[in-house]
Amino acid sequence: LSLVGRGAGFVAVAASGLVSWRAVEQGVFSSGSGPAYSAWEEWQTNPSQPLDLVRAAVLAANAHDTQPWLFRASPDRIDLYAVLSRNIGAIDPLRREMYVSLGCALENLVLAAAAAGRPTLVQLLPDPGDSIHAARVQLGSGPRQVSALYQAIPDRHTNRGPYDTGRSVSSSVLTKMRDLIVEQDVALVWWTSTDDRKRFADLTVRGAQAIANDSEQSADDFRWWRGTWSAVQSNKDGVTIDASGLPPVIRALGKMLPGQTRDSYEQGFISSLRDTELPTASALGTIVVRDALNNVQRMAAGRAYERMQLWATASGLAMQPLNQAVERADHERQAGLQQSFGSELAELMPESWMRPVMPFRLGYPTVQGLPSPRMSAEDVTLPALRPT
Amino acid sequence: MNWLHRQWWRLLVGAFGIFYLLIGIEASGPAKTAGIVGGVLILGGALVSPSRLAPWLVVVGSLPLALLTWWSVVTPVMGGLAIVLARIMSQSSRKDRRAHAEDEQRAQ
Repeated sequence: LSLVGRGAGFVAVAASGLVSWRAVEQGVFSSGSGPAYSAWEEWQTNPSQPLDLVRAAVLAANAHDTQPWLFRASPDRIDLYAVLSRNIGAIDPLRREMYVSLGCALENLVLAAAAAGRPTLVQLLPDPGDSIHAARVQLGSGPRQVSALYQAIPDRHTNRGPYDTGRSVSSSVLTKMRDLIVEQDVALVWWTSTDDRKRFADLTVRGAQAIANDSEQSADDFRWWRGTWSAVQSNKDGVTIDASGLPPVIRALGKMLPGQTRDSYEQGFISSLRDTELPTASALGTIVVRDALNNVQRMAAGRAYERMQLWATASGLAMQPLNQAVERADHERQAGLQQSFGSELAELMPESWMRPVMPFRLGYPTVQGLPSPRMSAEDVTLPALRPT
Repeated sequence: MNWLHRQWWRLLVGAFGIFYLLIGIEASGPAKTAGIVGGVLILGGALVSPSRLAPWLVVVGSLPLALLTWWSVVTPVMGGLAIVLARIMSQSSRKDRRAHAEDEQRAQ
């Protein structure tokens, strides 16, 4: 009996050793730390330097955490470039989400510049023949304007967890968020009727299912999944389990269990969307533009979305993009297919000129949104050009 | 072999101390302190056995990290096992000490 007891003790210790090793290796106890997350801590190191404005820009919302941006910082100017290789492929065939993401980064940059006493003059697509050169930001000098939106930058995280169904967002909040949009050809649509909400929710779930069933879209979606802690830390980008909004126990187990297959990833995503994200949303809406293919309008929509999410963060609200139906509509358009998702989205628009580019949900969070990995400002900034 | 037989439970409890240290070193936030200090206390518990203090050191070392990171499932299970093993270690050490004392008495 003594020998059996000693053997059982050894097995228990050996198993604990293996499990604790796995937990450590997968970052179970170190969420939000390491090189992939240091950008969230370093964003305000020296607010007077142009590179520091980039530190705020890299913390912006962006599709699949692809961070499709590159900056060139000089003392009186920052240029923003699109990185086409960081596009989500078949998920974003028309590069809509990529330019919306660039707009989000631009908004943070402008807010940080104001806080540093560097008023900005923004020119979108300064060279009309060059769609890579997304924006030129001239930096002036003036009084520091530290806004509440600027201060919310490090706390803004997409929250994919359940929202509080016992606390609804008031109509005055919806109006205030609508008033945040000042860009030309950009507007905000709230789906407030039960019928519209249901139609959008159904369309979004069908969009996610269609993506899962489309091998090309599904593969390009899964390409940005970072299932191991070492992949998170080395790539500093992509979709992670920490940012999934899952309860902490499921997150810990999910990290320790063997890696997900593409199918299990898609099914988990669909069930979260259908059973948690959509049913607990307090409000559903979308940013619309006049021309969904126009990169200037897309970036303007991105600026508006970032501003809204920062405002929501400062007001204790949470937001999450819900792009699945638009991603399918873009795919139909690019592939020359019959516009099924596109027509259904059009029917949800209150005015005929409106084209949805950024649907989302809003509500009061029940769990904290966790940071997503980020490349540092140094990783994405080119050296300044010599004066000519 | 006899030495290994006598020290078996202390070695197992000590191993838990090392696992706690490993988790503490890699953890972030308060779990880092709880893991490192907890690991040292558990190792201390294994070292001072058969003292009556030993199981208490293991309990005090195990609980903070287990409570702070309950959601990991790993640390509460490890903490529970460490406490069970510390109790066995304590009883086994006392039994060994008694047997040793009786042997000495008989030898005299």
